[in-house]
Amino acid sequence: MKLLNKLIDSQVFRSIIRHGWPNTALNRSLIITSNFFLHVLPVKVDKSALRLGYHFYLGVISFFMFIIVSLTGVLLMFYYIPATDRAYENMKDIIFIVPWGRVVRNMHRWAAHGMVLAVMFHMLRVFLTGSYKPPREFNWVVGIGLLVITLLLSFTGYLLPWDQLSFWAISVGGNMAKATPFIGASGPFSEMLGFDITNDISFVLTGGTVIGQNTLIRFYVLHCVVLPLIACGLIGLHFFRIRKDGGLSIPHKDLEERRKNESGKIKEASAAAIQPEPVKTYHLMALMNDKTPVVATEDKPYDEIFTWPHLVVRLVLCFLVVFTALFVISFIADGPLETVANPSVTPNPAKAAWYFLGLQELLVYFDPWLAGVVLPSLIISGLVLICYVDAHQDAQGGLHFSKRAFSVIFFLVGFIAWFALIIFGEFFRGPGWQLYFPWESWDIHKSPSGALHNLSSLAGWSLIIGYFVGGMVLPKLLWKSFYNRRGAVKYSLIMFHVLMFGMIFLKIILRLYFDVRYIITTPWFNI
Amino acid sequence: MKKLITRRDVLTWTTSWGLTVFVGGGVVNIGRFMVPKVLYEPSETIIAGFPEDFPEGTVDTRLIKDYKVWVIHHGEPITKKKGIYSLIAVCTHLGCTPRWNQEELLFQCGCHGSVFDVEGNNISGPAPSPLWRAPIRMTPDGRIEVGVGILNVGRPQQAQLMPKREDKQHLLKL
Ligand code: HEM
Ligand code: FES
Repeated sequence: MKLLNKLIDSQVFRSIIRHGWPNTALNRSLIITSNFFLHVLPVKVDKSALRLGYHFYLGVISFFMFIIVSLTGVLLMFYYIPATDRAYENMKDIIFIVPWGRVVRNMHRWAAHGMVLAVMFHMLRVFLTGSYKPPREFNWVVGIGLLVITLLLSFTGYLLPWDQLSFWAISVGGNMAKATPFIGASGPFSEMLGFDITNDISFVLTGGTVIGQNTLIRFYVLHCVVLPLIACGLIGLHFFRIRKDGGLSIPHKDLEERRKNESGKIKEASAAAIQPEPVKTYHLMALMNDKTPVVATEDKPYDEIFTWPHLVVRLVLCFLVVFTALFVISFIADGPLETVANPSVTPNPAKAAWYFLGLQELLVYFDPWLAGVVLPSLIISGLVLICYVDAHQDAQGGLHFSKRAFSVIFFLVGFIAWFALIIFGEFFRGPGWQLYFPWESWDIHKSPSGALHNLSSLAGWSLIIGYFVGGMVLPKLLWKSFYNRRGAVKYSLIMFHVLMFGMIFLKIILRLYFDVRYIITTPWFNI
Repeated sequence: MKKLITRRDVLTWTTSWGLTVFVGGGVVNIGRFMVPKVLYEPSETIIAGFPEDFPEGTVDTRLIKDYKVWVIHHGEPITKKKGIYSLIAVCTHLGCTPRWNQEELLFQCGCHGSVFDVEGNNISGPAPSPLWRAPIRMTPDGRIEVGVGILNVGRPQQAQLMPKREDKQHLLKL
């Protein structure tokens, strides 16, 4: 003990860590503010920010998954060479020869999947607790950016093993980009603009007209450098904004309880821990006269405790749990690696990674420019809009179902539909993308369903126009308060997304029960 | 007297436009940097063989492995027409490689279930257009030359149109 104290008091140690044991309030503050890695955290956090049952540490888990993916990714880079004739061999080497290579590779793979899942559920909890409402709207938008980057990271990484799975998933994906309206070779209107397969968006993304060496090196650079850097930047911004927005949103149950206790024993000494401050300020001492930069806070009763040790231990515990779980899973379960990529043989069925299976399933019903480009863009724009078309800004810190019924139901239906399509694509689709139940053998031959027909242009156009006009006007007449609370702009933005979402089901029903191929056909595009 | 143009105006104007040109130029030229100029892709033409190597009424799958084309000779039992043509083995839906099914005389794509008849017409599934025809011609010494790779297709939208599909560049009359 004496020796330890001596060590701590030595000049070398003091030059690195300037404060003493974190057993006094001062040192507990200093350990946070004077430590490079910890100073992203505030010195004190609200007690309810530690509630497991409120945010489930899902954002934290996403972050730790990202850390683990980055570290294992760097390890893999020591052996992996992005060349079409070597990449697959390198993967085999990593799995079978390199000590711990198999586990490192599996951890990279499972943590990537885990991160996609964690980010999606983190978004779900942020939505359900209404934490995207003012002042946190922009952080929700940053979050959507992170969701997109996470998916892109997974997508670009998918190609790197250069096996049958990766080759065909990326070639289908690259061809979807070809269907982009205006800038993809086979998309609507692009022929008039002079785009063909040698200058369109997919040509630039994949570095050519076929998936080959150019694609591999492009995806490698995107996966290992460009996208991780963007992710780091956005994560930094995300965390910065959490603090500038006044910390995590506080469960409204906690707030009510605090208010109750406080009013029960007004100004009692025991209530001293509760500081009903309207604003929190950071002082720029002596630099400015009266104004200080203010962090957005609401008029709320705070109840704060020291970050060290309360939050820090929980973070460490959380990391240990995540790491151990991934390690055990990676030890037991191997990530898939098929035979080496073969451009002349497509596996049947060729399925995308699970998080894109929902979109692949929509390809059955819609042309690629809709299923692969327009609908995903609408999902993203819809998610971004959530925080800006909101009508009950005060309904935070919990579900508030009576006020948020519409948005909660719409979001949940979308979220569940997304996963339902994924499950359907994963377990109910067999060779030729035909319907196979999980217990059916894929050896049974199923022939494609009978001939499809298009609706006549009169029927098609009147259906579409009737649907959209009716869908825009009827809710306004039926639910006046819904419209009035939001105004014309917000209302039409919301209804546009709702109607486009509904159109997916309309088309699925028309296809399944009426064998309709297209509702409307034009020389440029079909719907 | 009020000056028409102050020094501040000039500086603001030049700085703003300078920055705009700097950023815009950067974006445009990094974009140009990203467009590949040299392709190492199969766009070449290959000698497929003598007409005798492709008997009437057969779909030849020997070139699939290396060049992703089928060479097809019209005639019973597959068609009632005459001539030799070549189809590029890239599904017009999203680019998977369909398989030739000799029992049903159909090309089938496993990715999303598109089906094409022996002339490449899309008869079922999500494929929006027929399979592309590869350019084909007879060399002076009587062998068949096929342009492989989708770079040879040019604009896919036009290549699938019916008159072009059966002109003498795409159908070899013997
Ligand atoms: C790489 C992806 C992401 C990481 C690493 C991340 C990380 C975090 C962390 C650590 C927190 C602290 C609270 C918690 O753990 O729940 C948080 C809060 C938050 N996140 Fe994320 N996040 C990510 C993606 C997203 C996405 C996709 C959204 C929404 C679309 C989002 C929106 C928010 C918002 C609004 C908050 C504040 C919540 C509150 O105040 O209660 N984040 N994020
Ligand atoms: S790629 Fe052939 S059906 Fe989709």
